[in-house]
Amino acid sequence: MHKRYANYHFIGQRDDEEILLIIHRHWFNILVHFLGLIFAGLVLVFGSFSLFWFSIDITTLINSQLVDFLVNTLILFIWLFFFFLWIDVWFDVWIVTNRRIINIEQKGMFVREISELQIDKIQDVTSEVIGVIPSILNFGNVSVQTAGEQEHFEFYQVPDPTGIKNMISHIIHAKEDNESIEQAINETTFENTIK
Amino acid sequence: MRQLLLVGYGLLFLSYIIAAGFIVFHFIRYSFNRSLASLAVLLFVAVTSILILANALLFLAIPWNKIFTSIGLTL
Repeated sequence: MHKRYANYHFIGQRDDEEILLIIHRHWFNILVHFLGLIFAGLVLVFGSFSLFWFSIDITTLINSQLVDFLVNTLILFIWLFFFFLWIDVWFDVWIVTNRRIINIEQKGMFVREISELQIDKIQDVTSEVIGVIPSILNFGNVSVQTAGEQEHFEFYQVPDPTGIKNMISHIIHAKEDNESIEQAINETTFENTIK
Repeated sequence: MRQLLLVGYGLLFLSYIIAAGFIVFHFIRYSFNRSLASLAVLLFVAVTSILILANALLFLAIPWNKIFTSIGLTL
């Protein structure tokens, strides 16, 4: 078992299958998903602060217990929605094992799509970084294509796409040449958060 | 009117519990790292319990009679 993922396990993992890499979206892409929620939180904080700062007594207009209840309800909604969003983005994941690549797409709370590609069927791996912020923070997409068939995987907005592409290529070559996959992983140089 | 409010809040309260249940289910079922998932569930359940309990207490403390009387309605 690759040391980093010794405590990790996924549903459907085979006995002889080692997790080599678990890839989530880049933190910036996750942050973008949370912008609306961050804005709602800031409105709540600055709204309360403004009322205090300008000495506005809102309880002359609305019952104070009702205000407390509404504020608490808003905080509860923000809290629950934060986790709904977290599950939506964090559970979108790509798992590279010594046998296959598994693509898990979480769409909201109730849709979860899982698909896989066998490592030995992969023919082409490409990476792309598009845009100013992705170039600065080094994140982008990795595309994996199998031979002949029309199967195709896309890792969306993942950190260090070139490193991931190199690692998958090294694993494919190691399997083809019956070399150690562990060595192939060690040969891969990642630029940032992956390793 | 009061009963209608209670039923409405009851439904809202139930939706909190169901939503929280789904979140816990996802953490337990789909996390790759059991120890991290346990920690996340523990934090989530603790904070959510406090927020839901406070929400129910705050709802029950609202003087609905006073509010409705002030806008010309009676319960």
